[in-house]
Amino acid sequence: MTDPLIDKLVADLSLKKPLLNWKLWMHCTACLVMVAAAVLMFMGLRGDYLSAMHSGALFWKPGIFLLAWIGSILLITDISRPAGAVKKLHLAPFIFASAVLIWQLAAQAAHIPLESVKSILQDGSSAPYCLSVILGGGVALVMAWKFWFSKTASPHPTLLGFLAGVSAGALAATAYALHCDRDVAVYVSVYYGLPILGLGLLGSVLGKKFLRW
Amino acid sequence: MRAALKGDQNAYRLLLTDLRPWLAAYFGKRIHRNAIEDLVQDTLMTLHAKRQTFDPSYPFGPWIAAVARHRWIDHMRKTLRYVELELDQEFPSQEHDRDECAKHDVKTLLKLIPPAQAEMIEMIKLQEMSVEEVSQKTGHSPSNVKIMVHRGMKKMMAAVEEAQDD
Repeated sequence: MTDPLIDKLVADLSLKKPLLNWKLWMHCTACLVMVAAAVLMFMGLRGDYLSAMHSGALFWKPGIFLLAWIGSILLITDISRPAGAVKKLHLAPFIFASAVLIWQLAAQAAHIPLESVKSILQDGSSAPYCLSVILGGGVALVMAWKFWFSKTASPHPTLLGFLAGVSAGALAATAYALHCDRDVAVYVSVYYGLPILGLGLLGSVLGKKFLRW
Repeated sequence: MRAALKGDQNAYRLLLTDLRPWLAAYFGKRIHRNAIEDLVQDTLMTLHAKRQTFDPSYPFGPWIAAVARHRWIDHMRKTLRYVELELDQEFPSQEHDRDECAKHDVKTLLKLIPPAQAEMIEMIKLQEMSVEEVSQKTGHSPSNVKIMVHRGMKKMMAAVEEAQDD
């Protein structure tokens, strides 16, 4: 019978703060500001910022990851509740980010020879640095967002975990892109994309295990 | 629910008491009657634990329906895993009630898969025929029978997952 259960649940009733989307937005924006400030303080703005501003790299590179971050947070808020579902409109930031990246890949393919791209990709000095900063920053951010995810009840816990990883990685990449002066689109796709994807996969494994309810 | 979220115990008691028959009717259409009470209690506990996910600016009906649906899908997943484990390890179960519930639930899902696979699962799981008996009756080899049953079970699992995505 449920009566004793109802008595128990009623006795256990306490004020619980509702899950509010704006709190996640505020928290994530504060994280972005703090991480960007930390990057600028400890690593500094890229040395060639004037020419990067002129070429547009100072905008499109962080812009791609900022769009991915916005898109992933929108999708997270979509599916954090039991009746939640992905809104197609919220995929738009990802589509814009992909369009910008493809546009850069196409534009650079015209004037950067294949050999140069190969040597940039095999550059052992900066690639591990980029990978580790984005990966490390992302892992720290995923931990910081535990407050939100422990309260969710998603119909898609694996996807929610994946998006948590992607959003954390995209946020770290946005901030780190202010420092990094590697503007070749292939390099950005590989050495920024891989850690973000890795964080997404890690998030999906954790989500499947810990976000079930 | 809005009052309950603010800590109103009387409103919360009224809500849970009113929900009980609704949930019993909801699960009554989907699962064996012996499992209904467990699932109703499970859903009420989930409601309690996850009440912060209810957004007061939206209606309560779709929210509780989604919670109940989630609990039902979880139950069906466990049932299918239980049935498949029994097949793979070939040990007889001592839990009569659980067997009965699982058979009932599997029967409702059989309508979702191809008739040939459904027939095999029906014979092995519900009529408790051996793989050899089914093999002789249908003309398929024993390993083929096992494969078809396994694929059918996987399809039923996929149907449950699909129900979750809808």
